[in-house]
Amino acid sequence: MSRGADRPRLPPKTLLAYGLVRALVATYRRRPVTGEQHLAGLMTRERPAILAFWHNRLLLCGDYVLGLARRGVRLAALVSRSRDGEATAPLARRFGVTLVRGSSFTGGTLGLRRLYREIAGHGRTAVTTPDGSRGPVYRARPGTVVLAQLTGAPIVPLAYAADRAWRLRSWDRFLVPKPFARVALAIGPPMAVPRQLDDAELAGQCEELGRRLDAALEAAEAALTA
Amino acid sequence: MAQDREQIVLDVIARVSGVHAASLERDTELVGELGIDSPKALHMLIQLEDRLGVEIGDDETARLRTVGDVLDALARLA
Repeated sequence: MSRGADRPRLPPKTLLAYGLVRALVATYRRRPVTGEQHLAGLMTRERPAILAFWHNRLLLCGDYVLGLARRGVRLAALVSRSRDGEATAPLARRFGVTLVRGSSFTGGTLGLRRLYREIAGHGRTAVTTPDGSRGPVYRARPGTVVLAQLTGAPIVPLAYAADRAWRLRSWDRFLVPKPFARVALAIGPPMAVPRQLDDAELAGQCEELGRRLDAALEAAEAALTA
Repeated sequence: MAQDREQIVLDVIARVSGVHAASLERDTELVGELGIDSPKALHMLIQLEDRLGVEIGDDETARLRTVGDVLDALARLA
């Protein structure tokens, strides 16, 4: 049986959108990835990590993550029941990413617990957007930090920048680099979260994650002109 | 024994929410009154499963609204 035969088929609309995005992404002039050494030794069954990026950087960070999945990294992602979540789910599944669904119960407890089990029980590396799926933009909420706290998996921040881009009118002003844009992706150093945290310390860790995501973004912007 | 389990449940809820266990009532709401959001609920579920040696299923979890719901769910799993 061919490798693709057991992959789920993509719905026509997803296939069309994916084709358009791939065509657009193929035009980008990519700078070498900055900080890729931070992933060394991570993302194994024994040492899973939590890859995190701001929601509006999903396009190329997601593309990079799918590339990791193609290279055999076992990934799990929390997908919201929002329209963008529904749109990206078939694609992620197609590339072997295990998806867990959010839920209405206390804003996603079930989804968070399923993701916890994928990391702690199955050694999968998780993919999260700390300000998703509804924002506020660029504010890390506690879900990602708590996952790191309970599993011991380090958080690895990702970001990308582009010299020319469209901004969609979504809550996060989603970034879509224009055709032939120069783009640069950066990976920051892993962030370990202590096992014991009180509420104030948890809030501090969320702020620290936000700073690290911003630092990755600055590194990506710097790489554009390097 | 059942009383021990009940006390463990109340202790876990109290620790996660920062509220004294003695002040918890069966109809106390987890979200509205105790402020147990998703990350805190994850802490609560994992601690309950670890300390009581049970697995709380997704269907069971989705029905948890009050302290009494948690007590009843854990009693069913005993």
